[in-house]
Amino acid sequence: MKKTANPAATSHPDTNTYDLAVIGTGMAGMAASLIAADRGLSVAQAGLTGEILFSSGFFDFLAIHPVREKRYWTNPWEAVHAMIQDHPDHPYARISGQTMRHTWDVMLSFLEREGLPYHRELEENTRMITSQGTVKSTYCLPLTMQPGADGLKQNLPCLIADFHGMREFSAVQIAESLRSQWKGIRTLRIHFPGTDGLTELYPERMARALELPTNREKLAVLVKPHAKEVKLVGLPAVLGIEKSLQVTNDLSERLGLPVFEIPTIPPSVPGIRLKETFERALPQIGVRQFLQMRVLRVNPEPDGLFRLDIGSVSPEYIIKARAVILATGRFFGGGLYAERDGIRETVMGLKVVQPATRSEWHRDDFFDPAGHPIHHAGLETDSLFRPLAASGRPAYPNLFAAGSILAHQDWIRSKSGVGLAVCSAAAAVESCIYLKGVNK
Amino acid sequence: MTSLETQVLIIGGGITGTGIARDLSLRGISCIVVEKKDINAGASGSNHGLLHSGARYVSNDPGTATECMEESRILKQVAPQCIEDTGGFFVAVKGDDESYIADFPALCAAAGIEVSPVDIRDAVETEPALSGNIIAAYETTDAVVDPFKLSLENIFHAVQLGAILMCFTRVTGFTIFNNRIQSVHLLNTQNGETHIVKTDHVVNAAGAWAGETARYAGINLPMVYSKGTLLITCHRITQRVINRLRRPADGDILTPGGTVSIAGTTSVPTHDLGSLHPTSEEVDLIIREASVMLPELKNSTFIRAFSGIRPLTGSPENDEGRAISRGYVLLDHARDGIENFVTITGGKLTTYRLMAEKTADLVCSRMNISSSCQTQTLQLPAHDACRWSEPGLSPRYWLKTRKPGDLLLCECEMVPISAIDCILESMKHHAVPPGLRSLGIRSRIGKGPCQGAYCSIRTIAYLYDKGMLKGDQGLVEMIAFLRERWKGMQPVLWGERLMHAELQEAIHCGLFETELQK
Repeated sequence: MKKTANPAATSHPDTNTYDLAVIGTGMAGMAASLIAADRGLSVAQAGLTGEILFSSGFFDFLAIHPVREKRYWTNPWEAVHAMIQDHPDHPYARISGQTMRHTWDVMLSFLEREGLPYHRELEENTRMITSQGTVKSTYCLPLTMQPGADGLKQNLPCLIADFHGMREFSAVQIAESLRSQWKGIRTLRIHFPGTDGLTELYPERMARALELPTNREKLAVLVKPHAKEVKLVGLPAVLGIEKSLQVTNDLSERLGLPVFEIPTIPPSVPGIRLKETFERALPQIGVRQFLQMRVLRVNPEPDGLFRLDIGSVSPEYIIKARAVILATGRFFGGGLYAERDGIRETVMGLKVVQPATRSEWHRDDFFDPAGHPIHHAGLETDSLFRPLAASGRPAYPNLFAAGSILAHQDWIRSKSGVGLAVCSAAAAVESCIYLKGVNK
Repeated sequence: MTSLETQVLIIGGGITGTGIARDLSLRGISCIVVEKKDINAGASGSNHGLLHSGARYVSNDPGTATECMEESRILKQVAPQCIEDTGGFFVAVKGDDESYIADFPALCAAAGIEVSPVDIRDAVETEPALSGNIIAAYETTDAVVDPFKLSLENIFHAVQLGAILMCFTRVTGFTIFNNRIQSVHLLNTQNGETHIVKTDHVVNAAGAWAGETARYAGINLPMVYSKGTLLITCHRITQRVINRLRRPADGDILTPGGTVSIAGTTSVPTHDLGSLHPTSEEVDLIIREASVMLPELKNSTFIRAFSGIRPLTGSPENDEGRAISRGYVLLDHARDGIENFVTITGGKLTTYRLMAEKTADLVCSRMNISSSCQTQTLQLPAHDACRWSEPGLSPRYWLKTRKPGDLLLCECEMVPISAIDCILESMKHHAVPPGLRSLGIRSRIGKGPCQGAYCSIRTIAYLYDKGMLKGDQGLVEMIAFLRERWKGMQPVLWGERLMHAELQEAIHCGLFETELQK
């Protein structure tokens, strides 16, 4: 049965007034709701919850700076420091180190509490393999993936298994592509328990199937004979949804070896886990979620509050909020939209800083080391994360922005997506509380 | 180094070179086709796919017009599997040159081209995408042809008759002695192998690179290049080919192609053959011009843009691309002191067969071989491995056969493993290494709305599983594929397409860190 945090649709307007309305349900929106609720604010959150499914499961903080030089930083904190020095307009420059450290602690302890524990080296980026046989740097990774990072670091003999019918995941490809960095990977192709290998396998269904002990037993029986001379076993990230750590540990016990997950192409199971965890836990700490709905209109009212019309097509709920955090993402998330002749912000029509013409949005080479200028477009804010109007002053005293919609950053190339999302969300919540105190 | 021998060596694996190979093979003459990249890598692979009725050229190039008329008639007979006989409309809109409209029927009649006037209301009723501002419409026999399928069918037939195709092989020099090319030196760019081919005759069908090739024989061949850009829509906008009823200009043709339409073109003189990027400005120009006939183009979503080079032979002083004849040029380099070397260049996709016939005739007469051309009447055989470039074929095939285990590698265009296996088998015989780009030419892989975001990953995984890729070859393939696709996507990125592009970069750079791998 599908659980839903949404109240049944009703024609009665929800006339509650909240301290904060969070628009957006990606990592920034989820973090803003969590942190604000944690700090005692009454919070409403609305959004289409599609984008978080595209999370890889990795939490990047900052690994590459400057992007043009492809310079890799082992210590993300030093990278952040360098970024702030070089680019004083980067969103990180407006967030204190203390806020960043505290935010990571809050996020990770929340996820641990909710059964989705993460691993991180406090002062270090971790290098981990992907389903493409590439090596990626990240700050935090699901505990179910962590043994793989150790295996890579120590060059341990490893078996990677894949499944007939899982088209985007080839153990042979991973082993071949990693040959120069991780020697001696063995591969195995097996039938996923209960399938004949003749039809497509979908990661989400596989993950749900492995929540059942009988399927894990069948899988272990297939793998075990091939795992005699290795020190660990890698599998695609399909080891359970709600109980991924238990599923992974159980497989480890059955095989007598550490088992780890390898991230797959999004939308992937680690993204589903994050989505389900936030959707389950946030209402429990008092966040009123309006999921699978858009914020159709945001109107500043004469009393200084915002009125939000929320619904799928036409307004189903109307709420009021003392402050709003816009965490609607970029183009894929729907926070920004590119017309042929310019980029606009979709919810409130805010000013978007952007290149002068469309021909300057992208470079001729997809892999141009400098990255594409369009990624630096977005909302420019003051030091309190309030989007600026054309006048250079905050568009509204109580409107904040967080996450990838912020200008002057390239989260993709600098490997800073989740860090930017959660740290700017935390900073926006702090500003919101600060201003509330100031205005009281 | 290996030594080979052949009667005729053909340089260039576009439609002209493959057409000549088939023509000569049918005459019993042995030939080798060398192509520095892959089939249709140049202009043959980047055009409208328009099988001209000839009506477009009646005013400024009546000779070409008549040739197009005759050749399109022949091709509809002998190569129907490559052609969708859509018919065409020539339409004029308010403000277009009325005297040209008035002269058009007579000009067509003079060139022997059938056109018939269409009532404007009927025209708009049969093609509802046409503008309400149309003031004249004529029906023509224009059609569309799949240029990849056409070249592949030609070369497959030639190979079946004994010809050899060497892809990814480039000419590095000629050995010339006694005013004859004695042998041609070749380099395989994939594996570094070199070959020397002893040959009686050399045909230069290198398209835009014909001048470069002629230089190996010390011959100066002045070439003029005109860059043309085209735009592919997400949906098919009209059933027929639509031409603007005016003198040829920018953005005045829309051709259907399976499930999409292609709008174009532009004509910009260029000197750089290296990197052909369609630009945002060219895209905007095509939209502005073509939407005069077809207003919905203003709000259409485009899959991608692409550019080709028209190799035109003419005096470099006359740099205006559209003023130079689209007729072909066949040069016997005996006049330049090389007795067994000819160049065939210019021309149209529509007239490739005629160009091949005339070239083969010349080569045969030079070699004192009496033989006659058969391609006017002989059917072009349909080969299994050539059919996968056709839009809509894969889904029909897959749904019909639905073999267990025949998983789809591309879901947008529904390309199953069995199709890829069939193509991979044929590539083995043409010295084409397995990879995303070569599969993309021969199938619909990477051509759907996702532009390869997912099918590229599945296809590479499959090639590794088959043992066809080793080490980091997959990564190298992926990078080259994404770069190539990007050229076409970049100028049409706004709206939904831009969202997809952002996701693609988030996956390939954000997650896989493809750009950082050593």
